Amino acid sequence: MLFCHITSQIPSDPYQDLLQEKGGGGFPYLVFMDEEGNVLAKHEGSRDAAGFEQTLGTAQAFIDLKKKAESGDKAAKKELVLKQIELGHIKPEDADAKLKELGDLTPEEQAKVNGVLANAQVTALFSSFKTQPTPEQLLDLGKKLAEMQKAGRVPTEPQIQMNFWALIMDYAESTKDVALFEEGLTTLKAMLSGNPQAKEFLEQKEKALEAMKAGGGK
Amino acid sequence: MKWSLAACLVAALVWGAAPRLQGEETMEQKKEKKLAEEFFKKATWFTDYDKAREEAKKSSKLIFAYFTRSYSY
Repeated sequence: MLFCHITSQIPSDPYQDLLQEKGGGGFPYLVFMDEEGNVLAKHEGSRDAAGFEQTLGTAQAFIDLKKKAESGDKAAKKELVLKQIELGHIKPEDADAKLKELGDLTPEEQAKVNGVLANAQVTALFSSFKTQPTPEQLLDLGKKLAEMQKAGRVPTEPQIQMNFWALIMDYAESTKDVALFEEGLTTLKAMLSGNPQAKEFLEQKEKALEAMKAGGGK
Repeated sequence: MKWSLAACLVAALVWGAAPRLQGEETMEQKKEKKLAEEFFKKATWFTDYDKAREEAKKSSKLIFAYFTRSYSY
């Protein structure tokens, strides 16, 4: 069945934070949920019948995985917890305790968990502003994101990652951190190459980098 | 302080449009415009989260959720 949630910024409208609660970082955001409102699958493919059918298949696979884990299958239990962290069923602050119950994670599993927890942390930071933040607040946010990046906590969700690096680059430009700015620009160029709408943005950033390297700064 | 286009774009994407100017539509009017979009007429859409979950329980169906916004319409 079809549900459309509209973020209206009308104070009397309920559930105005539902997008962030369900792991969304921007619009449009399409997911399959169960009757409790738990996200079972996020739609990232093509927006046509075939694409939606594929995501429905992913949602069904989660339901099947849950049944298998509940029947006692150890491997399924581990996979379920990892998936629940990814889908936001388990809060980042509770993830560590749940993961300890699973025993050792492979490097790939650990990397996946790190990315998912970073997605959740960045989304929470964005959601902490109820109105449009000031330039100073955005720079402060950029500083926090730069600290996350330094600690190896980089989001993996593409839209979140783009916002993550854009704000870090603004912070890097303000503190004349050429290496950090360049790292952000390299990452965004790889993500946005072939996107004609990003051409002007990337060209502007290239010029800013040249100016920083020449010692010009802002 | 020179303000970055990047941060403006991110701010607009994440937090939406600038404060309302005189003569601009109200948030309520923007929401009404959103609800009048063509796709709502093509199928039965729930816009109430509580009712959607109730219906999903009753019908034993999954919910396909489309998150959108009206404030920067």
